[in-house]
Amino acid sequence: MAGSGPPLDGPDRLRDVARVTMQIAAGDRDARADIVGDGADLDAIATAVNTLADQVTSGHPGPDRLAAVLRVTMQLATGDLTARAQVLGDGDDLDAIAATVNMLADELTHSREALEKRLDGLESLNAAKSEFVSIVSHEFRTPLTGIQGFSELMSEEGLTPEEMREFAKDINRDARRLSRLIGDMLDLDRMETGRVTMHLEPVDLNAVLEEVVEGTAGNAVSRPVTVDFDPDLPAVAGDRDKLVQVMTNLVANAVKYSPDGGAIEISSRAEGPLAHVQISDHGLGIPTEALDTIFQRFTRVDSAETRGIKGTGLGLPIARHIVELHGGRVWAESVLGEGSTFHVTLQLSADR
Amino acid sequence: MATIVFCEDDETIERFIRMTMRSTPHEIRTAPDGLQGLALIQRLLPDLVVTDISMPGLDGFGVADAMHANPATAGIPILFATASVQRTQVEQLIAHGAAGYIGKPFGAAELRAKIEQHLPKEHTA
Repeated sequence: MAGSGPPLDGPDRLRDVARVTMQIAAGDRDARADIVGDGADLDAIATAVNTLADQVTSGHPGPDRLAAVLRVTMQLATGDLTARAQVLGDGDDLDAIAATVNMLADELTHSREALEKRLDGLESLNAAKSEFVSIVSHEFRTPLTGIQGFSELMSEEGLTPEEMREFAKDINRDARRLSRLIGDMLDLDRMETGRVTMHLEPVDLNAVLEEVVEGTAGNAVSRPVTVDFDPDLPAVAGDRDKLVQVMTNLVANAVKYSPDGGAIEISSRAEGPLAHVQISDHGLGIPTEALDTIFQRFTRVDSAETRGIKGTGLGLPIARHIVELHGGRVWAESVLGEGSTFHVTLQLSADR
Repeated sequence: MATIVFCEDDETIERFIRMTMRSTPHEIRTAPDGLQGLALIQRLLPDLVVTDISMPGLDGFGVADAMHANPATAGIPILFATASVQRTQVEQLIAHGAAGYIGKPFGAAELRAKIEQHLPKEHTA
């Protein structure tokens, strides 16, 4: 460009148009020749050069913009997913590329966030698994100590036949404890991984409760069981064997945690679309903070009073799973030192 | 003869300990939890304490810390009986002044050997 001053003419002007043309050819996108407006041939040439320059620059984005998009692409490629290219909205090819790069970056960001979330989930799952293995091995080692220890003692000399019999009984008891633990763990695992299907059919819940009470009566001679069944209770939709398992567990718990002579009450009644069973004892009771956690595995209430009351810590979690697979609910209420009531609700059967 | 106090909340293991130690000349006393164990320890001032770690109320670490806080019991060696001996726990045992530990499941011979090993010299059989 010629700048200020009088318009150039003659050879100066020719040189000026030539210089501007060279500048444009060398990539200067802003260079333009002066148009004097005198109708001279050189003016026409200058106009043509400028038009050519306009066309070249409009079709091809500037090197600065190309470099900017490239830089953003490199940032993304090296892991900085916050980088975005500037989109001007001028319909340029490079603008379309910039927009596409940004879309790619958005997509990458979403994928990365989703992966991180899954990784977090896997990590906490792994931590839970480790904790479970640690608890299980602890639970196994106690009966194992009995089995290993008493069998070792039996092989020592100078034992009376009576002591022998006693040690054999100890070993047998611990072996049963281990076996029960393994059975319960497998049961619970099958339920948690959804590998247990309930065979729902109309079930007479009163008959289930009667059967359970008869079955536990042997253990409960000194704990009178009173029943109060709703004679008009419609059938529930249930898997009979599984419901027997749930009620046996709850009634056995009531017996286990009751003192001698402690009364146990079992009732059933219809409440709208539900059957509601209550199993009450006058035993130790459950601390408020443990009312929910007792339904998690291996969280038996640990106190001087519960010492000696045997359990795998898996009975209530299994009961809860079974009830929930029926679409029902199980929960506990308790007053410490006075007793506990376990509630179960189950859907009434549709085809009765 | 030495006096040994065992704190163990599992009845089977407590019974096994008593049966195992019957053939030794030592006087064996057992407690079902940390608090009763500590009371026994402070009354008897035994030559050795063997304690479970996880017990209702006061756990094994609590027993050890209380023993160390009392000059009368601070010098009594403590053996921890535990079902989960991992590296982190060994460090914890040392921090609570353990003389040693015995991992569950343990056998009769192992229990007797550990106890002989940690009894003060004048009492060893």
